[in-house]
Amino acid sequence: MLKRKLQISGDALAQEIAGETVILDLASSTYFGIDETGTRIWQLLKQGMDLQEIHELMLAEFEVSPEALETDIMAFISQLQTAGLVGEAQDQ
Amino acid sequence: MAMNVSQSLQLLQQVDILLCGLLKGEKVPWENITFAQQAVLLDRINFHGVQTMIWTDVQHSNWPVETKAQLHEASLAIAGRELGHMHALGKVLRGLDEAKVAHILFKGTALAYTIYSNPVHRIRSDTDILVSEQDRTTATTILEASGFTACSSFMELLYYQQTWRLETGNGGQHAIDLHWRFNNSELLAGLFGIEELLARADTAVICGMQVKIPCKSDAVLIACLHKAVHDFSPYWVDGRMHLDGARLIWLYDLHLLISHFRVQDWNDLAEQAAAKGLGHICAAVLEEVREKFGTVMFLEGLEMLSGDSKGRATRYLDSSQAGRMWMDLCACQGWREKFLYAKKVFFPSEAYMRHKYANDKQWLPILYLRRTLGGIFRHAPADSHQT
Repeated sequence: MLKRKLQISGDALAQEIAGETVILDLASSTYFGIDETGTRIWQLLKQGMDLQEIHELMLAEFEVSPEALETDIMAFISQLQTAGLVGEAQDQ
Repeated sequence: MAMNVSQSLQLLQQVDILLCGLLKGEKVPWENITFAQQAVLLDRINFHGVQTMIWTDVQHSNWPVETKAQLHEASLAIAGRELGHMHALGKVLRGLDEAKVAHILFKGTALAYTIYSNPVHRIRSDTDILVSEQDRTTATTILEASGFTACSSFMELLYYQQTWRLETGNGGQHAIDLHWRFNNSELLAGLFGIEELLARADTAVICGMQVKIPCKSDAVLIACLHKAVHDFSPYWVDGRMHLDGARLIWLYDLHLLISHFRVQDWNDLAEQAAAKGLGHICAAVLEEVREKFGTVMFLEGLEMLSGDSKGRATRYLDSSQAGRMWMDLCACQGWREKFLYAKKVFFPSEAYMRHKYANDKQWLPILYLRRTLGGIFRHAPADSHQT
């Protein structure tokens, strides 16, 4: 599940504020708000990391079990995909 | 319990001191804020345009959940608005670049993307762009092509700027103030020409592009002038008109600008302030900044500024409205320009008069007479805008 690389949609603009992020999807003119954990995942996606790398890095940053973190990451990614904010990276 | 005016003012001052403390990084526990202060706190935070900075400061504090929720919600809305605004602005800036229209961004947006740790912390209602008078038509074409519509100016007496708005579709809008001279006052407009500003300009990355902004010393002078002008020129916050230069965000801009200053910047500032006759005004505003935020300043630099003789611009800002009008008239080059200025002030267009006296269906000459007798001295603000 984690062996995937995703890329942020070119229509998604993001602005951080006090640890959270607001995303504007230009395609749908819709705003999304993401919390601190989601913001960290978003930052790492933006840096071009694949999900495995994100998982490993966040495991070192947060006190959480690997299974719980994977579940959280996948749930968040699923929401982003549903909203059209990320897609599979083309260089995969 | 009813309060008299002086008690109300005192209360607002106390809240302002408290907000300055927060902006300086001090902790302000909720129990240290009196009930009376709590009652006006959010209003005052909104007025000063510091919601996002205060939210960042107090999000983990013991402030009440409801208060924090309001600041949180406001901050997210401001962050969302910033995204939309910059997207809209990006189109305009790309258009100006492609058309090779020389331009410079000044005031809020220029500062937000240079001296603030997060541009969302510099809340603003619009972006100010200065172009040359020759490029005005091209710039307006670009604004139209980017979806902006010219505001039928509610103040036609603003001679040298026009507000353009873009409706967002969800009830919001983005605004760009296009200036073809630096200020609406004839006298102050002559202080900074676009060529001069561009010659000393810095470059900032805004909307992913290299954009010209005023150099640090020019930015300080412009910020001081802006603040001083609003001591007599109205501005609007959330639809309410204010007539004082009391907004903390303007002083905080200067606090950050000065915090980035080196000795050479002070020398540049003193030189430019003296050349433009703004030394006294600048020194007075910077003293206020120091008092409010404890900004570390180069004292010799402040002395250089306050030691200047009072220049024309300072005398203008110290004058009565009638005095400013006279000085603006004198600043017009040539008799034709003086005549046009007087005509605009005394006999603005019918459209303007009908808009201004919308509830009064009188014969037009009567409205002119009424304006001449009663409102002549409430004429064109030097730097009027919604904020």
